[in-house]
Amino acid sequence: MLLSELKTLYKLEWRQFSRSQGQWLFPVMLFILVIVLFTVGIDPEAHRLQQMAPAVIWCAFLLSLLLALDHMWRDDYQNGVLEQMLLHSESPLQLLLHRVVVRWVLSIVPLLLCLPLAISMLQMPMTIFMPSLLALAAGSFVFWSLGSALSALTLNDRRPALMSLLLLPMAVPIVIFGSRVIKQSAMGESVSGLVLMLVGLSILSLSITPWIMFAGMRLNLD
Amino acid sequence: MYSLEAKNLSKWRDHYCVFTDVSFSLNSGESLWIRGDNGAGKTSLIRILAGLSKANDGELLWNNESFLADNSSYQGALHYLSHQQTLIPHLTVLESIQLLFPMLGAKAASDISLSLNDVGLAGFEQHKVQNLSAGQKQRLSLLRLLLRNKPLWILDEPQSHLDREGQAWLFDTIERHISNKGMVIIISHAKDLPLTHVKSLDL
Amino acid sequence: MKKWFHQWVSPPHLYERADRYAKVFLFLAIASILVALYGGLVLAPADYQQGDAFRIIYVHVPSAWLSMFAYAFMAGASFVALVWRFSAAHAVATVIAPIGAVFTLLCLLTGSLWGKPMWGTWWEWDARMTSELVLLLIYLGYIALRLSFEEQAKADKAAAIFALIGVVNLPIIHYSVYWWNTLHQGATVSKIGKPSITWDMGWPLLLMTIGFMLFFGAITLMATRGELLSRERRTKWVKELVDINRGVN
Repeated sequence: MLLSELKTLYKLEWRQFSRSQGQWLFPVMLFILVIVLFTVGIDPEAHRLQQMAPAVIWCAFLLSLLLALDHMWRDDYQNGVLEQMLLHSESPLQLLLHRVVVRWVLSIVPLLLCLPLAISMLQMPMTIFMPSLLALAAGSFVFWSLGSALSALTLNDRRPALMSLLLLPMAVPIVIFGSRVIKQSAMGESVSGLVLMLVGLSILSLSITPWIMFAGMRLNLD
Repeated sequence: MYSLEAKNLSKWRDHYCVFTDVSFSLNSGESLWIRGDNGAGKTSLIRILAGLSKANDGELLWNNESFLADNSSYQGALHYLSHQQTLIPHLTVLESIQLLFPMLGAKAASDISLSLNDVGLAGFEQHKVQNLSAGQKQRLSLLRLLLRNKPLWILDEPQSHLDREGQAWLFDTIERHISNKGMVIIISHAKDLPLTHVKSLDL
Repeated sequence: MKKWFHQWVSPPHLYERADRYAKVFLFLAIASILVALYGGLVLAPADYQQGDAFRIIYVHVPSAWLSMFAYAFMAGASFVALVWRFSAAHAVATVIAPIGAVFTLLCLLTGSLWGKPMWGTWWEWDARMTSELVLLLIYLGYIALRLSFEEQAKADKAAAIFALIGVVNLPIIHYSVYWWNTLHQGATVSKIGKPSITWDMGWPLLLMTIGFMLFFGAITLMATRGELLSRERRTKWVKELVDINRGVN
C-alpha cells in the first residue's frame, strides 16, 4: 500500500512540475541573474572573479532555492489538500518526507545543470565541477530540509519573506563549508572531509526536520 | 455497529470562547445536523471531530472508549470533507481520481467512467479542474466519499454550489449510507434536510 | 515536588513573587555594577598595549556573555513550556527575546567602538562579532515569527519550536564561524594580543558580569509580570488585582 502511494506521489509531483507554467525555470533564472549582478559590480578580472566565485555560486544557489521552497506546502495548505493528506493518507509522515526529497531533486537538478555555465562565467577551472556538485547537493539538502520544516511552521503567514529570514541565518555553516570546498578544489586540495561534513549536517537536519514539520502543520491547521 | 459520543466539549482561542459544553451522541444509522449562525463555531467543532484540532475541555468517545489515548481506530473510520474542495487546479478530472485521491486515502476506482457518471461528470475526464464550474468541482470532490468506504462521514456544507439535481443526488447518497449502518455528521444552512433519522445540534 | 513546582509557576503566584525577587535582583545588580565600574574605570591599571581603550571590555564581555546566556535561558523556558505545558514559561520566553536582542546589540556596538582604536575599523570580521551578528538575526527572526501569529497559543508553540531549532543550530554556526576565522588569519599573530588579564583588571570584569546577570534577572522578572498581566487580562485574579488597586487609589 505504501509503495503504491509513493508511486502515486512521484507521478503527481512530476505532473505538477511539468505543468507549472514554466515555474521550474524561475530558480534557474535567478541563479544566473545573481551571478551576473555580482560580476557587474566588480572589475571582472580573472583573479578577482576566482576569489569571489565560491561565495557567489553558493549565495546564488541558496537564494534560488528559496523561490522553490516557498511552494513546498503553501499551495496545498491553501487548497485543503495538506490537511486531507495528514488525515487520510495511509502513512502521512513518509509521504511528506518523500515529497521533501522529490521536490529537492526536482529543484536542484536544473540548477546543477547550470553549474558548468556558472563555473565558466566565473573563470574557474572545470576540475572543480565534481566536488562542487557534491557539496552543493549535500549542502542544499540541509538548507532544503530545514526550509521545509520552517515553511510548515510559518504557513499561517502570507508573506513568503518570513521563512527566508528565519532560514538564512542557519545557512551560515553551509556557506562556510561549501565555499571552502570550491576554493580548495580549485587549488587542487582534497575536499572529502568537508563534503563529509556537509553530508553529516544533512543527516542531522533530516533527523530533526520531520517532527518540526509535523508540529508546524498541526499547529497551523488547528 | 459504531457509536460516537461527545461530552461537554469546549473550544477556546486565547480568551475568546468559540463554543462551550457541546454534547451529543450518535449511533450507526443516524445522522447529526449541526446548525448555527455564521461564527457559531460549527467548523471549529467539526474539525475537532475530524481530529485536526483539539478541544480545550471535554471528552470524545468512539465505541465507548475515549480516543485521547489511541485514536487510530477512530481516524481510520472517518472521512472528513472540508468546505474547501481539496482539488489541485491544473490536474485533469481523471488525474484527480487516479493520482490525487489515492494520496488522500481513496482506493483507485475500478471503473472510473461509472463513478464519474454517478456524479454527472462523464465526458469531462480530460478537463482541467480549474476549468470546471464550482458545482462540478464540488461534485468531483464528493466523489471521494464513494471511493473511500468509511463508516463515519463528516461533511462541512457539502451541498454548497450544487444545483437541485446535485443536491438530490447528495442526499440520496447520504440516505443510502445511513441505511447501510453508516454515520453522517453534516453542517448545513438548509432550512430542512431531506433525511430520515436526523438529530440536530444547535450551536 | 512536582506539585510544588506547578504551584510556583502558576501565573498569580509567579506574578506576586516576581515583584519581590525583581527588587532584590535590581538592588544587587546596581550595587555590583557600581562597584565594578569603580574597580574597572578607576582602580584597574591601563593596559600596557591598549591604554585606556581596553576598559570597554567591562561592558563588551558581559554583554557578549549575557547575549548567549539569555538565548540559553529562552530556549530552556521554551523547552519547559512545550514539554510540561507551563503557560508562564511561554511568557518568560516571550520577554527574554527582546532583552537578549538588546544585549546582543550592545555587544556589537561596544565591539565596534573597541574595534575603531584597535583595528582602525568600525567592523572587523572577527569570529565573535560575526557569530554575535548571526545571533542577533536569530533573535529578530524569533520576534518576527511571534508577531506573525494572531493567536497567542499558536505563537507560543511556533516560537518555542524555533527557539529549540536555534539551540541545535547556534553551536554549529558558532564553531563554523570560528573555524572560518582561523583559516584566513592563518599563522600570523592576530593584530592585538588578548589583553593579559591581571587580578586588578579581572575582578571588576567578573563582578560586572555578575551584575549584568542580576540586572538581566531583574528586568526579565519585571517584564514577565507585565506579560503575565496582559496575557491573563480576562482571568479572575487579574480582575481582582485591578479592583484592589482601584480601591486603594
